[in-house]
Amino acid sequence: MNKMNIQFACKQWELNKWTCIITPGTRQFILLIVVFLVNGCSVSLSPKYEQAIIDNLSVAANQVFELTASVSQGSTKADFSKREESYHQVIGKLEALELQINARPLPRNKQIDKIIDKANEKLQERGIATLINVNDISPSATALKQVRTNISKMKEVDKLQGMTSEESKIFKGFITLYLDQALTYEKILNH
Amino acid sequence: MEIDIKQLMDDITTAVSEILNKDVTTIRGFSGRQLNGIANQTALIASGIDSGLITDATRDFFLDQLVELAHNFANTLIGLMVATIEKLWNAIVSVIWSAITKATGITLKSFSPL
Repeated sequence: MNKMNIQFACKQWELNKWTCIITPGTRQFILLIVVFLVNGCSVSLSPKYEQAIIDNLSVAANQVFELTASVSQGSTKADFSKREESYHQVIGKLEALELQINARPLPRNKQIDKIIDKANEKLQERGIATLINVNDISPSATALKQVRTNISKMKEVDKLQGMTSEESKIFKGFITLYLDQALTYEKILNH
Repeated sequence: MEIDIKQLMDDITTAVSEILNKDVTTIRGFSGRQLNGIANQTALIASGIDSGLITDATRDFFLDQLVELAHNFANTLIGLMVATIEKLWNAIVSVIWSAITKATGITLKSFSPL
């Protein structure tokens, strides 16, 4: 190939990289290979979306906020008995919902696990505790567990000495943020 | 039938953009709400301890909860990003799969999202 031919070939390459070197037949063959490779590399990364979980989360959130509203001005241990049943109902509802979320299969992916392990190693080198465990359940289940922990603590303090309005406000703040975590995560799973 | 590369690239771009626009807005909104909420909780707890409105029965619990909240916020953020990556992957593969089916006329096994 002489110099002129090389220059022409380079110009053609710049003009149209695809049509210069790949014939239509070759192009289709390459795309077929890409599809098979891509399909072969398919990995499942997140749990499946379930509308029933969103529905139950909304119902549980309503019950939780009804309970927090009833003590928004603080509470006294003298009238704890009026709220005791509500505490039990809400805690039971949250436990059932946690069970429903945890029963859903959580896909395991070796590549994601490797990335998480690397991230944890780097954090530990800096003296920071593990960010996420590869065996962790979904963040929505953890968030619900924390909502239940807050409600249980509310019940304990309410029964022991009653709550100040400030304590009630802070409990509600934590619960709201955890419910936001659970709902946002579950909703984004909807493809 | 020949595959129209430009059309294929446009289709992939459209699919990716739709997902990114929706999910990035969701993630940005979520982060804003959570960071604002964590800051508010921190301020409330600090002033409550200072004023004595937070009692000994709840003080340590609230401080531990601040750590738990931040921890699960980070984990939820990771979960949201992983879910978005999965959606992007599925969208791109689905467009390519569809283009191949049209171009070759071969009845391929239907693409099932992850």
